[in-house]
Amino acid sequence: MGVTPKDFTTARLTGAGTLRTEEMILNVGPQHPATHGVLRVIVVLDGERIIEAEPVIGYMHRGHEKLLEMRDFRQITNLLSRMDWLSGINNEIPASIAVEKLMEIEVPRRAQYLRVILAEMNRIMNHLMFVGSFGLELGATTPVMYAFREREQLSTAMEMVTGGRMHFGFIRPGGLKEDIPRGFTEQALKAIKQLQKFIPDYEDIMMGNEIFKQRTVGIGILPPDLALEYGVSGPILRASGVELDVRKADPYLVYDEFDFNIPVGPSGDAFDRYYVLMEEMKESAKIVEQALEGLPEGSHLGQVPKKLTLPKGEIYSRAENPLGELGYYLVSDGEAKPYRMKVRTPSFSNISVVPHMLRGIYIPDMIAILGSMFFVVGDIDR
Amino acid sequence: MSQILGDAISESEVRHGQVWLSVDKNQIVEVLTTLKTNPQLACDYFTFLSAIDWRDEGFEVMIVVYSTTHQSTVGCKVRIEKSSPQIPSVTPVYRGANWHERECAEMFGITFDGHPNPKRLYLAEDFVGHPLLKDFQLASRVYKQWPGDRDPDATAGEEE
Repeated sequence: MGVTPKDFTTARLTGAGTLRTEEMILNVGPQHPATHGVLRVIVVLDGERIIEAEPVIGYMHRGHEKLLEMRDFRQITNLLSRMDWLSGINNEIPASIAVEKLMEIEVPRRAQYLRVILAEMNRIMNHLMFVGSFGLELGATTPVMYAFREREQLSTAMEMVTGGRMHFGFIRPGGLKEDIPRGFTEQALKAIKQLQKFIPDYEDIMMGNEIFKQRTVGIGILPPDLALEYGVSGPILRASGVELDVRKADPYLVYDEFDFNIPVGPSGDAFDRYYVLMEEMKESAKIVEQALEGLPEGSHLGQVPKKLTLPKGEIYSRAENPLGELGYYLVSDGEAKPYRMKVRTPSFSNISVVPHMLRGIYIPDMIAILGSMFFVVGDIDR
Repeated sequence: MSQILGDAISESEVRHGQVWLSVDKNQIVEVLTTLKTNPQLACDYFTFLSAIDWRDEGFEVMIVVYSTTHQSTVGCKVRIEKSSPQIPSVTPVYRGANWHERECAEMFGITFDGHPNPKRLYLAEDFVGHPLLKDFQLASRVYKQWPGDRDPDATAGEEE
């Protein structure tokens, strides 16, 4: 039997069909640029298509929860600052709130305002990092340069207050370590003004770019019910259309005194996640301006005993971190150290949903999806 | 809430605006299913799952969920004995519990019955022990005590 005309038709459509194919297992990471840090994803591939993906975490596990049990309530601040290394101040705040609530310490209004200012500036710094790095992952090398230009001004302002540019260790139970120095208000306003001036650049360079749109629109859609079931929070959840923000849902500090919006995306794809980040920077800038304008006089630290001994009790204290809901479950047995401190970090829950999002997509989209999930490995692993 | 959940709840309290329920371990799956599906409760957001080691008094597993509709936090606490550290897995109810249970299992030595993928999460396969148990000591702290572990009152005079 020779070849029939039918064989030719088949060959034109699918090839001869005699090549043996099999699934391939590919390790992405632990050292891979798209995993910013050490996250490993084991992907099972059929050609270019991902059949199954499993994130492997723990390469940066430092055992924070165990270490916290050995430090007193002032010392834990420095440890928490290193958990999500892009948002030190935001990590420190809910821990202090937990201590203050259990001890019934009153925090002066000036300290509350300053905490809001520092937290929102830190949020912008975090968002700028992801705005830049996401571009880098998709092959655009310019936006990260711009993002760092604006971030530098904010870092300078933070450095003036705290002495640190990343790990601040500045929040104390009862208030802050020190009051703000002279010139801080001017530097902070300068940084905010510069950001507001250049945000349109980002918007058009990235979101107006045809390649960027093709890489992100409709890619990595996260349905809201799935996101909620996995405990996904922060900008990623809000991009999926769920208006959940701890600053509004369960207000802490003095967030209820400021006028700001919660940006919510319509479709939950990578583009929406990026857009939400961009809008959140504008809202944070608004909060910083309002807080600087209405900054009350007074002390930066409330009445705090020299030795912090908490009464017996338990509390779950949560806050809106730049990446989502950060919560501390603090158990005190009446000693100067926590008996147990469970840390609920946003990136841990956010990244646990990734296997669902990677199923059935092509490899290049995996980079776009991982990049748009805005995670910090230190925050996943703790 | 106590009307809907009935006798599955042995105790309940409201702390700092959050509801905390004590649940029997055999009824935890049922209680969480009700919390998730009952429209009056509608706890759709899985916050976290973890445990506390109460030394001789056993473990306490906490599962915290949140309702975006009612903006309320509900925490379930389950007491389990150290002699039989087992609890039904809640991953079939909230898929997000998957990693939290894997972490809790390796850190405390608790078995989550029916977990779809009971592998280790953070720790290496050959790691011995459960680090978050109260009797687990950090090796470096056996060698040298944590240097920050000094009484502020005792050292306060020296600094000034």
